[in-house]
Amino acid sequence: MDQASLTLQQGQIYGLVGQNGAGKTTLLRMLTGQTFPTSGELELFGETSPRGLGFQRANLGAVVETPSFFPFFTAKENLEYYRRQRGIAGKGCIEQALRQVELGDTGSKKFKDFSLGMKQRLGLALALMNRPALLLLDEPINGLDPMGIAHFRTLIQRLCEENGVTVLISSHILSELESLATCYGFIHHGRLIEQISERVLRERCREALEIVVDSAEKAAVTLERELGCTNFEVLPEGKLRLYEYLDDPAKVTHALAANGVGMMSVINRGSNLEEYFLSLIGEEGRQNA
Amino acid sequence: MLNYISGELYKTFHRRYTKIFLLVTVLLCMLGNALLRLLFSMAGTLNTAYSFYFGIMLMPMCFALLTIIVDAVFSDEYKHGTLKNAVSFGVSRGEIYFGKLIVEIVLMLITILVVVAAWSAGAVLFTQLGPHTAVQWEEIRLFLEKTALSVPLWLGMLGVLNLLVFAFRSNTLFGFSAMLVFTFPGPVLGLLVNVEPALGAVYQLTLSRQFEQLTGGAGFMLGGPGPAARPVQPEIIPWCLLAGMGWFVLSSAAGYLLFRRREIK
Repeated sequence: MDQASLTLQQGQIYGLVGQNGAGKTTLLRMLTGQTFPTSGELELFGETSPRGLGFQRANLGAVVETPSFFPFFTAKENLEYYRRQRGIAGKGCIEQALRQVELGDTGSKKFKDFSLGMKQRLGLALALMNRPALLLLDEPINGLDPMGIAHFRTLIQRLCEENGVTVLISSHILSELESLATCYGFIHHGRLIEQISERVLRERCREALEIVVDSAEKAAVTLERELGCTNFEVLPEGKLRLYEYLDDPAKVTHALAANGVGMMSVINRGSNLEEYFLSLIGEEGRQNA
Repeated sequence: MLNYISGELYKTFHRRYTKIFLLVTVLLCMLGNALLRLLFSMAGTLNTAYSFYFGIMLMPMCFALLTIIVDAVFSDEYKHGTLKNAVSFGVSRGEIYFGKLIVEIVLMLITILVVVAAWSAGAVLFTQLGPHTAVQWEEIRLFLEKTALSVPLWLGMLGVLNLLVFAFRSNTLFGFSAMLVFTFPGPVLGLLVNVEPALGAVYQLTLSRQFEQLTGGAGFMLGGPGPAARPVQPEIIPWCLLAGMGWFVLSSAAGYLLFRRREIK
């Protein structure tokens, strides 16, 4: 990790996006004290000292990598162990957390006999048990069935809206992240390369004419001079994204052809989170080079 | 720290492993006495006192029970990946290391009480049929005295075992290392002292040397109780305390330093 500074507003669902090995899990592991920075320091809620960090971590709920529990205990016994360890008064929080994740009826079934989805939900129950201010979830929907995913989405949204819980989610399933997050952080080679809000992302991913030409510069000049376009982007590899003339692409192709611009393709498309991310790390890669 | 200890106590005493361990320990105490009865009946020297001498002689072997105690409390946390749940909540490495150590001491003390009670009951039940039919209070007193003096030595062992269980992520490696640490170095050093007397000072600080002085090692013979029956020599009391507490403090400090910056997976 290198200078990854994440700013989360209360009640926000922050989607952390990155390739395998980009540093998402390492970041979460450092935040939760499972690993230490090799150099530099870690700051959480303004605290940098080990004691201060430990104190602030009591405000976290975390499921990092696979949920881990004692296989010889039931869901309730596992949560009771952590309730005592965390000094949470009253056993009501266990029932409530289990009900929230729909594990209230597992009875005497041991953790070792749980399905992957049930294990994920128990991990979430543990993270919720101490009513955290910040939830850190690493690939939380792995192993959940479609019903489980829908329930998880509703639960997270409700926690944010009703309880003001802030959530940081790292996930490979970008389509799911897209339907949940209100803010995004893009991480690449251990560096946070961009943080944007959902609104800005939607703006950037909106429908456009994507034109691939032999000379993007020449095409850009043509669009400005011949058609008076100002709302377009020049992308790498001869691509242009034009947000105008969506209902009249023929006018655009005619103007470009008349000015000697060779066109390989013209597609009417709106991008999504995945495409946005891919284009982002493409730019980043070029900058590094 | 108290919260962490409370959780560890719940886990340790709520799981079947610990209950089975204590039950098996009681059964082994009974079985040991039953075997003694069989052995001495055949030799014609059945005597309740021998049962207590034999109990004294077995005290150094208690590292096996301590290994199980440490395993029961640590509960394969590396294998199950459960330590991350504690550190994620801000439980410090010190609380984890020393919290577990405290619970191991609690379980060790309970086990000592269970063993003393079960061994004494077994002695009365199985071996009080020889020429001496009355309960032999002198031998019981000696047994209890030597048990009490073994406590600091067992604490030293517990400190070393706690270091090992935190050091090795594999439970198998922990078991092997515990066996190696408590069976080979002491006797080997004892033999080397004959070659190089200067090593005597080092040997004197080993747990195995103190156990040998206290319990008489394997000097128990069919023909007689051997050194196990010797009264406690006052001069060995400070050595037992020094060696036991020394190993406990040093190994605990080393174990904590090792675990303090360890990555939790």
